Amino acid sequence: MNCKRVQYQLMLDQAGEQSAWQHRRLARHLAGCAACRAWRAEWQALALAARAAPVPPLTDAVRGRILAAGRRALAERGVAAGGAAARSSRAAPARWRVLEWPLVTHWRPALAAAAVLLLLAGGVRLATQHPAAHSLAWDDGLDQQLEQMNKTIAGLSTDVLDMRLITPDEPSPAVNERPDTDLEAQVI
Amino acid sequence: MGQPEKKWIAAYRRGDVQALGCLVEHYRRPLFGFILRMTDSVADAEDVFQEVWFRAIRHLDSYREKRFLSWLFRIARNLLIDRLRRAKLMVPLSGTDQEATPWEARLASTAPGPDRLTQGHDLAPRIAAALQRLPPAQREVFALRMEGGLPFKEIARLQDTSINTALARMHYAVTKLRQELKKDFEDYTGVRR
Repeated sequence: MNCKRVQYQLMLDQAGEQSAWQHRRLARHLAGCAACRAWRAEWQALALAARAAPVPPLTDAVRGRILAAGRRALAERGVAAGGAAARSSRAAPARWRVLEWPLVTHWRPALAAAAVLLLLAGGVRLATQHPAAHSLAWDDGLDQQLEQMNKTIAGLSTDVLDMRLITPDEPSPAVNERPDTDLEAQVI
Repeated sequence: MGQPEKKWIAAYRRGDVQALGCLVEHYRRPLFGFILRMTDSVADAEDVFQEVWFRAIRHLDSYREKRFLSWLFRIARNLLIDRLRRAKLMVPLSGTDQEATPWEARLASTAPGPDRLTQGHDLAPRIAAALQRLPPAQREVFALRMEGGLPFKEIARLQDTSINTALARMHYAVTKLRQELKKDFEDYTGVRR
């Protein structure tokens, strides 16, 4: 085996990109090649040292700017940023976001319950007060009053009513004269 | 992508900003380590790091790759190339492996010189300093493998090259580092050449 090729394969082997069969083949080569063994030792030392090199922690400013960008992106998508407690109300799809006005969002169940209660209460009230409600309707009331008036009028004698035709020569009695109190008393 | 990352991404999409914080911290070491190797200073690395996250956040809905970290590396790599172009350093990230670091890049480098390399006994900072003198394409393979832990197959895909080229770049990088750090290696491994 070519030593340079072996060294390529040693790098792949270290990265876990060689099969078991290739690994055994490499081991056989290493057993008889001091140069490749030395190369592998240095490669491993290099890898260990490079990974041991400290990476400085992120500053609060950098972290803060990234999180602020995250919040802005969420706001642009119409998702309210916050902790885990607020997640459930933020899972709504875009088409429902118009309903996510804070008052509506947080009070939505209470408002729905109140609306149902109002409807139920109104229905019960109407059902229990049906006769009164019927008499209060303007057309029904008018019919009843007209009917009663007709009955009253029908019970009166023509004398009382004094139903005479008024000729053009006579002055109209109803215009300037005091109305007949008897008739008034019977009608009302 | 592992389960915690999936959960954090999903939680963030639902509005949990703390989940985004967990995601940033989870990938801090490989991503920031890689960017640090590819830039000249911690301040530059921080700029690039936060820009990677700004872009990732903006395009999170379009994220479809298998590995979230590979996606972040891809964004970081594009940003680093843009940065180099803007700075007019003209350092080709996909240049030939044999070429020397352009003189402009050397001028711009803040890596410690040989005198500073002789100070201290820790191998890690010496490797970091020696890496700064490698051509960017080789340095990138080294950083993606060592810091990012990416397999060579993914490194090759990121660099839009063959796996053999990625391996050759790594081999050149290791050979140069061996030459630069010969004495350190002999002390470290106990092997004299």
